[in-house]
Amino acid sequence: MDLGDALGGFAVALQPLNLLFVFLGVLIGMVVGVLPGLGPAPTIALMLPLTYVMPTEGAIVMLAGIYYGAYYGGTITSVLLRLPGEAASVVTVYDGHQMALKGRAGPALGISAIGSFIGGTVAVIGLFFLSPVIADFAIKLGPPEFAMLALGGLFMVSMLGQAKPLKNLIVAGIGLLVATVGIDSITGVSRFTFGSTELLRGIDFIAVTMGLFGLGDVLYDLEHSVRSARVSGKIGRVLPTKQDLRDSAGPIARGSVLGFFLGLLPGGGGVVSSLASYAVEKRVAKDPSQFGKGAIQGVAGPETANNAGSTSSFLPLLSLGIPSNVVLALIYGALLIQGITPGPGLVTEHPEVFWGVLASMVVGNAMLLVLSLPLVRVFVNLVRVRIGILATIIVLVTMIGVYSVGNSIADMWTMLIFGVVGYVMRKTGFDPGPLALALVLGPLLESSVRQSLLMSGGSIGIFVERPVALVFVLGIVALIVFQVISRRRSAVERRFYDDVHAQMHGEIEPDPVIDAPEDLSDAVSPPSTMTQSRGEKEQ
Amino acid sequence: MSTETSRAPLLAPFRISSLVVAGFAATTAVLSMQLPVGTIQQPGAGMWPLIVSVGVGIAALVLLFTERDASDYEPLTKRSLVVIVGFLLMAGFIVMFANIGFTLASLIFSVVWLRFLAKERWGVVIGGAVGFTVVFVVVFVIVLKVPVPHDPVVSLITTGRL
Repeated sequence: MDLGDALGGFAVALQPLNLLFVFLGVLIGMVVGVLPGLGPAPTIALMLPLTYVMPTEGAIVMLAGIYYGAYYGGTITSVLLRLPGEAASVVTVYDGHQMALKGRAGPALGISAIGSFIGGTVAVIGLFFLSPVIADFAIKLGPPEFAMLALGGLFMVSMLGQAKPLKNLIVAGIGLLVATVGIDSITGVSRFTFGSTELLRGIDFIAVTMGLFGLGDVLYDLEHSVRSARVSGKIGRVLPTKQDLRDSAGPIARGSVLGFFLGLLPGGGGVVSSLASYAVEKRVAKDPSQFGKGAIQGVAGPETANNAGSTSSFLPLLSLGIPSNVVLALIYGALLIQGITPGPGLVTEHPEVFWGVLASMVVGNAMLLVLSLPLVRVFVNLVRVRIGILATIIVLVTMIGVYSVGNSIADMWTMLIFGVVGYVMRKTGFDPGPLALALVLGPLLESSVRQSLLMSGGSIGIFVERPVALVFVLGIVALIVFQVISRRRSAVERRFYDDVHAQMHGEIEPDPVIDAPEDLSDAVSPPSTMTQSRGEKEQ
Repeated sequence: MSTETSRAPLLAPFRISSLVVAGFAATTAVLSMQLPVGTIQQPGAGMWPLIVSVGVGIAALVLLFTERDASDYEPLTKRSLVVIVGFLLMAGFIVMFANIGFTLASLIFSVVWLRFLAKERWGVVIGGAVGFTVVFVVVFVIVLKVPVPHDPVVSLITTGRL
């Protein structure tokens, strides 16, 4: 790995066509982050069929743009409307909205954009040094290690996800079963096809995800009246003052580093990073009592961390083939569509994709910075778009989109069935996210487990005898133990989440001040319902 | 959403979802056993789905007995009926798409959805239905050349024949 590859990434990202795709991605991301009823996961699912006709780098940089652009859109609604559109923006509500009430919404949004840009850039620099190490490491991994890595990824997402861990594990298991439909790649036996030739090729990933996240959300939203949003406070001047920048420098620096490392973990990404950053900032603050009352540090740190985390989470996806959350699982699907299998070979075989995506994130964040400051007032009006009109568009796009992938009416029915499944899951407190992730990881996990058993002559000891596999196993065990201990969240925090949730569903009027939880250090996951009305299921 | 501390009875309606999952897992386990399961040394096509089914089944039973209350579950209400209407409209779209083409299917679907589910004014309904249909036909059928089932409207416009 040399500097040339990384610079080559910028050459890719700065090509006029790719610049256009990054711009489109960031713009679409911001729009869907603000719009009610849409988030990055359903949007990327909707865009997957379009990526068929796009060049590889263009497709992936656009989808990545939607991913981090939506985070920023979520920030806008968190600050101005007290509606955390995305789970990663939940902590921004605490201080960002308080700043808005004091007429300082502009600086809150400005520092978010600046922090996001710095966080994303620091993460790309970090990846430059780390990716060769991970790529070398990944080449040495065998089936037992990949089996435990994929299993660890599913466990992490289940434990840190938005619903109860046990429910997430059940959903992940169902996803693994769905992934087995079709011809067994090792023995050629057809499984669960019930004589259907359509099912021989397996259940289409795009149909499943568009159903779960697109139609599932439309059906769910039909039942819920969405309250019209009110902008609280004035936006004011957007550029932060010198004092704001001084106050934010430490949180941005710490958020960049923290987000970078947390994003590398399976199950990591924006949400965990932003929560952890808020907890850290509150702990190191000279006057923690200001948190929850409009402290700019409480906005700058988490917003920086969530962008650094979402950037670095591309490394496990691209170098190990392990998507750490559902949005990345969808991008994984897009890479497969392009004939590229993410994994150890990608960094060396397709450096233009790997570095191109990373460089595009720096470029895209710069675009966000430029776009967001003058256009905040325009974006915020999008929140008034009525959900019934959006729903019509979503249904038409998903229907023609899923048909266009395989020119198959059967895929449309599959999507509709999974739309109903997605609706039922939301009604019953199951998060569809792990199903999509398991569908992606299923073939890798199954083949790795079976190859491992063949290698060891049937001994499951192979998963703990090899040092790297053992480390992954211990990691999974430690995670379960940690989760069991830390699940007992404080009553204060639970009340807070219930309050925000109730307001998102229009059940109660917003209070002028809601108390932020005292301690977020163990609050690695917001409750299952936090983002349901938005349909966003990213970690 | 209340966070009650008292435990709901074992026969509470919300536990149906755990039972459905357990039933699903039992079914897939039986179907897996009908496939060549093989041995642990030589796993067959049925081994992996069998292992996963058993795991899902056990997890569902644990959920059945450990879930304390219905706070995770949203009750079905009269409004839930509108979801069935929405589903039927979507299914109707697929049937129309296959038989009368994308353009007419899109127009009919948009009008019904916008007017009767979204409760929009007729002006918005007509404008939306025509606007969305034109945009999607141009993007998907004309520009991206998605080979949609026979569409008499597009055919009439492009070739002059139905």
